[in-house]
Amino acid sequence: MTGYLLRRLGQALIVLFIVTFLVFGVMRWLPGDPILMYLSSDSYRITDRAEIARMRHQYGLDKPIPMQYLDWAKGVLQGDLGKSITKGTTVNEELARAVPVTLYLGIVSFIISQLIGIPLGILAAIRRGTWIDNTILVIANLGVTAPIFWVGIILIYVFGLTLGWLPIQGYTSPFTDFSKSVQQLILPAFCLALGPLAGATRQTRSAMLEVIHQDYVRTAWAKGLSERAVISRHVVKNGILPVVTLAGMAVPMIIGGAVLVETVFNIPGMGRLAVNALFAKDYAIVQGIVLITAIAVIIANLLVDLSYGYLDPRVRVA
Amino acid sequence: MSAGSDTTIVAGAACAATPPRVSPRAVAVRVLLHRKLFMGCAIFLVVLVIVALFAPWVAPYPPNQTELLNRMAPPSWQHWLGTDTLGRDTLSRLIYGARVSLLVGVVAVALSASIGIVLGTVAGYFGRWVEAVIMRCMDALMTIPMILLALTLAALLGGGLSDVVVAIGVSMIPPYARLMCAETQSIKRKDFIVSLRGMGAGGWRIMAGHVVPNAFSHVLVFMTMQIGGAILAEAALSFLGIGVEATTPTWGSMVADGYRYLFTDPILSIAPGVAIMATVFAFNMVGDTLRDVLDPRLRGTMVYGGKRA
Repeated sequence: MTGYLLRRLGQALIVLFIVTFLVFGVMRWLPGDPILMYLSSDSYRITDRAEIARMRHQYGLDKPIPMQYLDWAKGVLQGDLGKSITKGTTVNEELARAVPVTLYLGIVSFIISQLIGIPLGILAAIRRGTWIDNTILVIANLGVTAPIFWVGIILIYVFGLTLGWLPIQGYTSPFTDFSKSVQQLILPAFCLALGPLAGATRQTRSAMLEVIHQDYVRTAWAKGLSERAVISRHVVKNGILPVVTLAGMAVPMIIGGAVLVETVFNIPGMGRLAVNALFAKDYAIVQGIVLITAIAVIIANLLVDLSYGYLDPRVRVA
Repeated sequence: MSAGSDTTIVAGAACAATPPRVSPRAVAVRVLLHRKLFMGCAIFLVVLVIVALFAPWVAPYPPNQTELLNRMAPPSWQHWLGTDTLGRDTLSRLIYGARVSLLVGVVAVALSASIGIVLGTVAGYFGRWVEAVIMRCMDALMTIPMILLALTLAALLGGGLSDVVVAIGVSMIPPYARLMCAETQSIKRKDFIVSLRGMGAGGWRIMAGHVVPNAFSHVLVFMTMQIGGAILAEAALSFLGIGVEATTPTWGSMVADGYRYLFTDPILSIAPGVAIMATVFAFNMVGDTLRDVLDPRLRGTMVYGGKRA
């Protein structure tokens, strides 16, 4: 088990290294000079070459690209993600503001998606072929096919504008005003949960169907166990493993979805920061966000591997 | 049809062998014809493609023709879905928007599939460090959420139609490489590959002539399902405003434009969203059904001629 985990950890570090390389390389080699973008977007135009050169020097953009990478990597290792060109702040400050917001939204969405998705999947599997199963499948399919930004808009139209039950946008920290914060969170959290929820439902259903016809399940029925006991102790416990994998994959799905949901609901999180930074060609912020995201996804994958060892004794031995 | 799908269907027909023997391809086609949902989706897609191709003749108005005296008109006989803030006909813009969605969906998937197939086959066939290098790079790409990656690439490239296709195509490469790598690893151990190698066939010839065709039915199913994903990604980029040129009507940008008038004129946002959803649903359904028909493990549940095959 430890050997397996160490190997996975080593792979994760290699993947992380490649990510930094990709993030940095792609940002630098593609067209678009950040300094010129910044200067021309300003209200007054600076065409002074000396000024441009000075700024380029100030942000270290005049060095060769490998040196820029090393500077950047050194900073990252020391926990410094660089300076934002357009905002005049450090990337750390921007992320410190935005990441908790997305974390809060993302964790709530994740919990909603798994708490609803997994039971729905189990229900669909044990009632396979009935109208319950069909209804759940249609809902799950719609969850995968509906564009998330559009679902957000429909939610706003129905629950915010027409029924007037919930606020249509904005974000309040739960520490300043808890009830307002929860009210503002309900729509975006459900919107963001929809994709992973549908995924969890489909995955759970097919995972349950894989085991539901196994001999030991028939034995459990034959020895007179109640349906509840058969399902919870024999079917779910043995079939849940693939669902855990998908739960790990929900992390990139939620962060990706946050880009759109935060834009629709006007939430000052990481996703909206990424969109704004991309429009402003503020490389440093985008790099920081992609890096944080990649680390989160890599950690989620490692956790999935760890839980495999816990859930499946065969992995522990191997 | 490729050699690959032939072999899988033959294997399935052998399981379902009931004399007199029917051609395996005919079995598959008849099974597909019996699935109402599949047929519905397939017909919808065919109609959509025709409408998109002949948009100038089908659409009642040019997509950018403005009627300033008739802005924000409700649905009527002249404008079935009403008009937008500049008095442009919503239905016509939807029809033209189908062109962008379908084009981006199909071309981006073709791009990602062709690159992913090459990378995955090479990785799976040569194994060792070649596999390690390629697949770790794919792992790295996969740690970045697809939409964030596509968005970043599109923004960096500039954001015209071809840039959007490239951005979405590149961000969708990794799953193909993974699929193809796994397929290649299982195919290369089969006897016919071993004997080909024994006869002196070169690696590239085996890969291009035998490994890829044999795995192609699986890849094709996956491609069908990915078209929906690519269409969603394009819609998301257009919605955020990093998409195709502003004058080109796209479903995503129509949703974004309508969002501002949600309270007074919700149909402007709802209609293009329904179009996206229906199209993506149809592609996913067709892909799902094709997989059921081509995957031997799932074939036991398919209904053939009213009876279980």
